[in-house]
Amino acid sequence: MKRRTFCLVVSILFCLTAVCHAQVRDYPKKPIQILVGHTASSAIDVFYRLTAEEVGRTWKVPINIVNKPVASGSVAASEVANAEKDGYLLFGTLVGQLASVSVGNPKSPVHILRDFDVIEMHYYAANVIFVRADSPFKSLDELVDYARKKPGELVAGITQMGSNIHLDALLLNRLAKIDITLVHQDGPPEVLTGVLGGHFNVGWTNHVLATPQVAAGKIRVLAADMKCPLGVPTFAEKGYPIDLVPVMGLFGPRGMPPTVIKTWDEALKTMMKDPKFQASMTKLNFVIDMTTGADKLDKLLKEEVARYSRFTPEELGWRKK
Amino acid sequence: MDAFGYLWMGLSTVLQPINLLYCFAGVFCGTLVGVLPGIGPTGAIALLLPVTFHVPPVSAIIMFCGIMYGAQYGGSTTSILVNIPGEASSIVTCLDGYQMARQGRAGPALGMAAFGSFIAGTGSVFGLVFLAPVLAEFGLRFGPPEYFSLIIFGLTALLYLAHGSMARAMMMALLGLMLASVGIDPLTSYPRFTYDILALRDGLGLVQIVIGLFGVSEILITIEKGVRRTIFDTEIKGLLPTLRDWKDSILPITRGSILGFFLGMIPGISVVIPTFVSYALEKKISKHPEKFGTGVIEGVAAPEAANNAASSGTMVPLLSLGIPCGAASALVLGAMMIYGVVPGPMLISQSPQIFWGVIGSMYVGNLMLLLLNLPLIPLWVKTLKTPYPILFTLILLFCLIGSYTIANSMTDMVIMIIFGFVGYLMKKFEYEMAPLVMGLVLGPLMEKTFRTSLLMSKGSPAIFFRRPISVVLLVLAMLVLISPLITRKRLAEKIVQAEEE
Repeated sequence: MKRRTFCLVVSILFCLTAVCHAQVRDYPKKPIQILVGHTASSAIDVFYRLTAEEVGRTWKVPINIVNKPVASGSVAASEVANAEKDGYLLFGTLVGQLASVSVGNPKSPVHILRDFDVIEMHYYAANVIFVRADSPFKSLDELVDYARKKPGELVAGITQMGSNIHLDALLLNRLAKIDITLVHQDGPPEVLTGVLGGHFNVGWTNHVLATPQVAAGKIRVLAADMKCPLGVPTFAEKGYPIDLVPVMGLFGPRGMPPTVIKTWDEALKTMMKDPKFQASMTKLNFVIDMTTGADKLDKLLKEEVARYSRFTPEELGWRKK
Repeated sequence: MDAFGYLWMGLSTVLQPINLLYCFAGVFCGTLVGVLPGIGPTGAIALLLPVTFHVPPVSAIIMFCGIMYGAQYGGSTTSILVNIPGEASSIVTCLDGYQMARQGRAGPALGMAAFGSFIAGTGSVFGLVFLAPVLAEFGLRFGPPEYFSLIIFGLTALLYLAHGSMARAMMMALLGLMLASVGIDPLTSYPRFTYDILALRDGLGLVQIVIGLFGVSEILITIEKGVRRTIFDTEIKGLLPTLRDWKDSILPITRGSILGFFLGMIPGISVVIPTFVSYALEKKISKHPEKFGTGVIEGVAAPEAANNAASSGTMVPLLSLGIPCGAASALVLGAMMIYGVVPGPMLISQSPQIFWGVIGSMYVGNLMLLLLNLPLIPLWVKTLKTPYPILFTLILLFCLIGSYTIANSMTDMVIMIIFGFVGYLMKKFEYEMAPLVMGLVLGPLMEKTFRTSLLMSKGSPAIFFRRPISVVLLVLAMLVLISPLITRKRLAEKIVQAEEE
């Protein structure tokens, strides 16, 4: 009899723990995949890899990063937009890229406000304008003055059409009423090469990539589009409200269960407080300013879309049909 | 401390057991991905990246660099044995390497490829030690106009790449240039020839096309001929290069190394173009240019030396300026940032252990590669005896996996298969593939640099003639173009003379 009672108690306990466990682990129950529309070891890839490791360790569930750089991440975006709405396939991207394709390309298969639920968004770097260390331009004002006096003489190296950097540079031309010739390069390394070699008078990059060059005394940063550790004035302080700061975001298909977003929310908040994670961000020179929570994110996302709506589809790199 | 003192520091870093282990792991993986067609160093590094988060930074970077130059050793193997380049940088090796294998001289070809790579690899370590900072600054002087002139010079290599009809070679080069224009316009970002297929926005990838053109088509041709391969019938003569081979190869290896190293360190040139140029150079100065393409050992030694030296050359801007040239070194750069090592001009003074450790590891790694690759030669030669139905299934499998892993995209696999059939038809109708690939490699660079230059000069083509480096390169290109007029006359006289005798 005693033995039977014991068995009963044990089995009830087992059931209870199982139930409790199930309650705790509504999500995630199986490995999660995050598609990243950029190549491995790009800033966005690095951030989500570190996040995946940190959060995956807390949840004891593997979170795998898959790089799908095809068509600037458009393929990955459609794949996630049409995925099962269970939170096991997510999309880590530059919000600007997704916003730009949504407002600029009338044929875009996805729309950032229609097809996605956003889990978090964060700033990580400021875009900066720089010259070679031996350049005569000591400040943004001097550069702008010269550009006004000698229209069309200055050449700036920038990144691809429609990138945050390109739009920042466009805004500077527009707001300061100057016409610096903008030469598109494949990416920041090519811009840096061009400026260091003296082929471009000015270049645009982000503060993460500029920092080591500044430390070595190779380049001088004139202004940034957001406060950054380089301690340079922002464009806004100089009278030009230029604000296409790169923002990263984690997205899932529209209509995910609220528990998924809540679980992520909590995990991300814990992660951001972890000194070890903070240290790895400092090592990368990233300045992370993360927003979570549906209301704040919704507002932020709409603002971000509005920033890109100021430009024509051509400026965003999409042909009007 | 002088350069030797630092080098000693680097060597003592790499000789720590843990670093030796990672170095070996790197060169071993490198050889492996080099041998497998389609799977390249970029894919391997991307796959290993997350694994290395908890590894000491020096060890991880040593391993990644090992993959980069190790792949250049392995790339030649399949080029020589089955006429399928393991890497894009081994395309030229197919031209003479495969012919050598058909004559039963696969062993010497593989051996010379390994020795050539070793000599180039170790030689360029010294180049890195003594010249890196100076050279890095020189590399920066290449702006868009200089690149354009360099590419024009590179295009003249076409004259020497073809061994059949020149008209057909030109057609193929032109086709290559045309295929290179698929994808988004580099300056305006408008999609061109994409037919609303999203994946085509990135253009037709070099690797997919190369695997298709060379790999899949080779398999189709062989199956058509009947499954027995002619290559088995030839007796295998010798496994190592003879004294004669050495005599023929030593100068081409030296020239290939120097050329590869200098071209490799110019950001954006990477490892493929130097192999084309070095092959062209050897054919140009050879006493028997007509034999190129029929299995001469110089045609294997020079480009193999060039690609290895070039992969070391790409380390110059990477380590001394923090500028990556090529996808693989961009990955290594990103990896450094994850480890908290700041790549850039300060690397040498801030983290000397990493800079010199990597350089020391390249010396040790090249030695490991030689020791690893020489004993493998008999094994590789034996693989030719594998029943072909098994061999080609495996090759096809790796081709498919390789093209998929580039960007995890199905479209890339489809592109590869389509170009397999294109390659099959080209072989059937005797059109050569190397000129096409050359057009494809040079096309995007040429277009971008030409248009950027004109933007910089507000539309005036005079920019190409105002800058000294650009002028020198254009003059060189001109000389190469008119020189056959002179040498051909001499050649004709020689033939007449020979006939009289």
